[in-house]
Amino acid sequence: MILFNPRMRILAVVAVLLPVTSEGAEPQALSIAPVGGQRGARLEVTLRGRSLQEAYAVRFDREGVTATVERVEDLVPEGEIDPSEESPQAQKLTLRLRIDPSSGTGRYRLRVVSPRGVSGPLAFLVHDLPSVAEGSSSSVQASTTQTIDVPSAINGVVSRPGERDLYAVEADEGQHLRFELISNPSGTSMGGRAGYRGGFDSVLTLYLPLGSWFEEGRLHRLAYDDKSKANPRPNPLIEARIRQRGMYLLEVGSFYNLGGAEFTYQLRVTPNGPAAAERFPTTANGSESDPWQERSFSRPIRPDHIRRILARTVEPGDGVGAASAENGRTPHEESNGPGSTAYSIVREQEPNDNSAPTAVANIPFLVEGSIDQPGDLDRLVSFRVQSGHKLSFEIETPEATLPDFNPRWAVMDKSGKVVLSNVYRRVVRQALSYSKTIEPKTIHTFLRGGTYTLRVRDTTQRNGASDFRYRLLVRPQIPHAGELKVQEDRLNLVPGEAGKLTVTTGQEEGFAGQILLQVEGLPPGVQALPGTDYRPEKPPNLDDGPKGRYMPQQGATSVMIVAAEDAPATRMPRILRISARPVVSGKMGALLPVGRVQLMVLEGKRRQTAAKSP
Amino acid sequence: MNAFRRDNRHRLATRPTLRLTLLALVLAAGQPGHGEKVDSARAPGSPAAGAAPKLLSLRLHPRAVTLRGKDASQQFLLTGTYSDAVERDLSRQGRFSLSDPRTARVDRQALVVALAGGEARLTAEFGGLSAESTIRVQASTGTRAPSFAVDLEGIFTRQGCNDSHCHGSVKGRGGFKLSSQAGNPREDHRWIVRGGTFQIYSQESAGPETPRIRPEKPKESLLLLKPTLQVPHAGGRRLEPDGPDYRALLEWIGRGAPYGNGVPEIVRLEVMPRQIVLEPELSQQLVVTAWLSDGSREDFTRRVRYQPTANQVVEVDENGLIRALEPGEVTVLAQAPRRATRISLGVVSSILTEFPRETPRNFIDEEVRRKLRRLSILPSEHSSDQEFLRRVCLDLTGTLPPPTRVREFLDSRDPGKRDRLITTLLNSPEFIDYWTFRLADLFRVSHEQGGRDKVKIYWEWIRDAIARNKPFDQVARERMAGQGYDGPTRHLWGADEIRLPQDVMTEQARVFLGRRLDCAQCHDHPFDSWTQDQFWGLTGFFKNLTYFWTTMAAVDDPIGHEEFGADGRLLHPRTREEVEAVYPDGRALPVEERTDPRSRLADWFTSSEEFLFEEAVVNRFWSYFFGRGIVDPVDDFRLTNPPSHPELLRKLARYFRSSGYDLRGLIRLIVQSNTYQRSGRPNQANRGDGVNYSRALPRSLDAEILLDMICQITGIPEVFEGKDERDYGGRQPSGTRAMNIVHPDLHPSRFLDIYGRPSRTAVPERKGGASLAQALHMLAGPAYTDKLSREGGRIDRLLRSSATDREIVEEFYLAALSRFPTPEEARQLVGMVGTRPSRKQALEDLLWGVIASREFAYNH
Repeated sequence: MILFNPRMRILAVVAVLLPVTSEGAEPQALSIAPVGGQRGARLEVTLRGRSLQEAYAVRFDREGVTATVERVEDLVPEGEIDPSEESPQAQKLTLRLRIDPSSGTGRYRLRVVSPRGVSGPLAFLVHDLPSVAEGSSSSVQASTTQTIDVPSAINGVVSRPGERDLYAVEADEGQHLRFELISNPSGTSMGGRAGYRGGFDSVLTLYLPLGSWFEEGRLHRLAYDDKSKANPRPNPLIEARIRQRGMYLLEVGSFYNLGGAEFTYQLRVTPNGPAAAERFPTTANGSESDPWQERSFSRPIRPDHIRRILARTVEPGDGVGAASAENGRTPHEESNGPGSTAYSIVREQEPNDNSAPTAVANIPFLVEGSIDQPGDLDRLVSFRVQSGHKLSFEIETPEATLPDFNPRWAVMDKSGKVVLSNVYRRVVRQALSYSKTIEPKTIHTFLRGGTYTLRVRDTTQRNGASDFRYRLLVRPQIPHAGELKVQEDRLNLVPGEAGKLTVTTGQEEGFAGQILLQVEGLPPGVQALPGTDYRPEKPPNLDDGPKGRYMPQQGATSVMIVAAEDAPATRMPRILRISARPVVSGKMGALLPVGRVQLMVLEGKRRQTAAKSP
Repeated sequence: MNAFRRDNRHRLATRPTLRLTLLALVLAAGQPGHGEKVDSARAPGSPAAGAAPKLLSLRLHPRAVTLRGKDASQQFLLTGTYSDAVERDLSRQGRFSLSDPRTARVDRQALVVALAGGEARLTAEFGGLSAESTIRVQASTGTRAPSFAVDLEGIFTRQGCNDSHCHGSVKGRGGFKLSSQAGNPREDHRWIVRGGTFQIYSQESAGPETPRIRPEKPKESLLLLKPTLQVPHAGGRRLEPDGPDYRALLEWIGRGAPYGNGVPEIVRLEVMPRQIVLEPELSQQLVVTAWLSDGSREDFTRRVRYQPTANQVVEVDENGLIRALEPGEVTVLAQAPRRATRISLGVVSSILTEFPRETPRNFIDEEVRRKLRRLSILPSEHSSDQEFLRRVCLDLTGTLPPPTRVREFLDSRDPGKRDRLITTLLNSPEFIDYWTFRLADLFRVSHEQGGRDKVKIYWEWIRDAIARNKPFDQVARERMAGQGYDGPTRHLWGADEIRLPQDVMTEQARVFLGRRLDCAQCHDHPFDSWTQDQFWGLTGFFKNLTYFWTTMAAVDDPIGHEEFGADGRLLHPRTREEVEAVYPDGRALPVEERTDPRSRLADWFTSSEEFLFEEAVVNRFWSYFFGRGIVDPVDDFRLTNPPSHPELLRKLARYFRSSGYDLRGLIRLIVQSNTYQRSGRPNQANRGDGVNYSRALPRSLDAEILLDMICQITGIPEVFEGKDERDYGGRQPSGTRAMNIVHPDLHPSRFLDIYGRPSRTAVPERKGGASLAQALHMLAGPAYTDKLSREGGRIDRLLRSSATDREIVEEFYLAALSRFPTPEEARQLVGMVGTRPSRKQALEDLLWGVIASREFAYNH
């Protein structure tokens, strides 16, 4: 257990790792094809990567899928994987996969294990759809294009720049179909090549080969979807109601005409509708628990939200007790939890864009509503505060979200003057240029007591729809540990070596205690020690604006994982569990998960490691 | 055989000779009408020699007039109507007399000057006929007090002092600044009475203030000494020492140089006649009337400045007398302070007394014909089916009709086949491709401007608008007033920030109003009536345009633009006052409407009584079909660049609005007209006409379309490599047409650059001129060489078939020129192929000759 505190004597370890040679390089898993399979299937898959020689195992993060290594072959560099001089040899690993019929659907993360260590993860999709492999050739002629059934999942790859893959689907009049393209479902690092949110710049187009006066085989574009950088939906999706029976063509490609082995995709063709969505869920189940999020519009504000925040500190903040005492009810309110952690719910009631008096809610409360139409402005609720009252405002967009829905709220005093909003404005680059952002969380100390009114709208006057829903929680501030992350995913250590884990810690709402880090699951001969890093100072911004209102305090600490000279090798990776505890005035709070790291202690030649004490 | 056909035959000799011939021809190809054969048929209605027309009636204008005060004057216009249906000016030939010589006097130029109160009858006599007008003189009311804003500024305008080349230039001249065309009389009065040096970015004087007048010694005023050259004046002599303008200025200074508050302002100017046709050496008197704000009218014929747009066609003296010099078309601008009017005038070599009858297809034909008749220009005949087919396919889809369709169309005897074809083309996917390309050009879909992630949704928005035939006012509204993260807002971005509001505004004005307002950013527009205040008033509608970095969403927000500085206010560069949204007519945007200012401006664009938006849009689309706008250039609407057919433009604009801004409907209307379907073959009467749509003029094709056509003809698609695969994207899929490339700037192409693909960092201007680089590219460029010999191409396919040389020649002609070869062409070409040792080589030369010809490279 390591407690980071300035008063503690810190053992600083500076590790200088020499450049990794190809001989000592850890395995890299770059792509897998096919990228998915049906439950109960047995199939052969090809995993491409580097430094895969001598790979002996593949490890999944969930039960239900197993794999055996069949063979490893060197790849001819040209055209397969970027053959830069520094890159280790590229290989192709053939695996035999067995998907248990009772396994759950969703993403299964797999890693390659070899004497060189454990690779980063690749995801494999398990689904209920019949699988179809991409044909050897695609043609723009409907008659020769690969035909696929409904439902099915096609596992393909845009293997060359400019390639377009075409599939034909026979559809009946009135049929509702859903075409969804999951690009790079295995989560390959695209190396900056048009990588968007883990995928690539995939394009899905639906055509009807009607021909034209000019060209007999001319395709008529019926629908089109691509994945843009700012689009929160990671995958192109076309939902279509078929107007006339016939052969339809689906085209898959890269918008910027890129291609390569890592440009894999799964095209899912299913009947559309709620039942189908349930039967063929798109979102794969994660194998790890969702990390705590405070600075996201899409993080859910659950009924036990305040309780969960309280769990991230040592004792309730000053304001929570007061909130408990104020927790009266209005006709719109309902309680979702007992005691001081409950908040009342106020539901929007239209019309509310006039100047009529609004209901007064007691803190904490959550307002729910929607920007139903363009220009909709919701004056929602009033609340009373006393001078010096510290409040936190958190907004969630459970359906439509950025960039389509940009919820903007404001708190106005009795005169209608805006005293607070979730627009963070600061100077960037040069003194004449501002940056403005909409923030999901805002904290504020009210200098004047009184009654204030809350108003919500979209930042634009053009957008609005029933799914522009928002949930805005107003509660007393609770100083607590915020988002905790470990940056590394795995460590492959040679005995006598040290590896660094960097843990970033968010300190929310004025949290002034310490955060204790704990590493569990260390194999014999390996220990975790505190470390320090040199962090170059950045020049200060000219004007950060009210940064503390919109941003948490951020900390970063290093934990050195040190393998002793005589540490025994681990044939399979061990999982290190990184946890944290808030510490206030010497009192410790509950254990909070931070992350998991795969660790292997390797056999073989020791790499040069330098370490010294201050 | 027309000129194009002759070109082809020349090129099919031997390759070296052929290519040298080509070079010369290409260099000459930029001139429309080059090499065209003239239809020598005599125009019907040409006047027979020696048959003098007979005078039928006389008309005197104005019919009645009231002159206020002694010395008030009125120019009269005497017009005779003749048996050849032509009206001729007789103002200088008629004999004038007054019933009461004590009331007024009249001179030989038909100018009546008031003498004393009373009423008199003016009689004009000519050729045995007479006409009369009534003159009332109100001497008792006295002379209207001179107004600085009207009368004194009138002198500066008439003498050219406030011209943009003189003291009306941006900074003025010689330390003396006047507002251009007297646009700001208050400031002009200040510079004269108080003196000082004008500054662009401040209202304060730059130097010591020395008045330009001396009321105590008026004759020693700089304002009089300079223009009479009593002291050096770079502008030369402008006033005669005892002339009426000098006397007026002297008197005004002597009275203390008052501004003259409360005197009437000029509301509008009216000129008679508005449209004039003259034969060389003949003259025409003008009468200009000013309507004043108190409801009265005054004769301004000798108080305005006349400026013809073409000095070689006519000359106009200060009395408003036009003299025709040589055949041509000209507009004469009559300028008074802050008001102007124009006269459309044609000088014709001979006036046609009869005109061929033709049933108009729609109002386009009526208006075009009306002007052709007025200018005695005989239109060309109706186009042949082959001319029409190729022209309309290229204009609507940018695609050549395939040989089977050409045969089918030419063989058809269906009288409605042209309309049916138009409908087919309007509903084709190729129409969507082509007009997406057109609008992507106009709307600047550019990676350089917006980054690749922003560009694609922008392009998709355009494509969707075309595919759904979205009403064009909605397209404009979405582009002008777009908010959030969606297609039409993407053009608001520069590299990584919202562009400055003045830049955004000027682009909208250029695209949707057809006006170039850039000059007015720093000063009043030198060639138009737009003032700097109007510029910033319009910019005020965009001043709150900003964005949220989180989502790159564009919004109108009181926080304002990110570059306005700490207080977030946009300031007028000269007054340093905060810019507010003000409509061009001077109305400020009401406070309650300021939450969505760009939408309000879009409302104004699409509902203004002047139809500015509609005129600009229809004019631009018209130009796509005729190679020039009714106002040309299409984005240069201004007083001094009038429309060639104002009534046609007016009707098109009203049609467009009443149709619900139906773009396809507008296009259908245009291509269905007889005017569009005229032949390109000129006749003797219209050979020199380039602006009146009397025939189809050859238009060079856009680079993308030409390259696509070459690919279509050769059967070898172009490969568009990516600029940088890692960062910008890779090779386009095989078969991608140049017009369908979303990010042109990410796909370098030597061919497209040589043939004029524009950068889209600014609103593109495509210039279709020929160049030496094009000629060299024709000789050695891969598009003209490799594609011909490539395996799998059209030639390769035909060689493998059993087609005869005659059939191959026919296919080349049908595919590339949408016509059969003439018997002579077929005979020569087949003979040439037969004499060459290599049939493949001969066919390559033959096809090269076809695609290198002007007949191929032009739409005609």
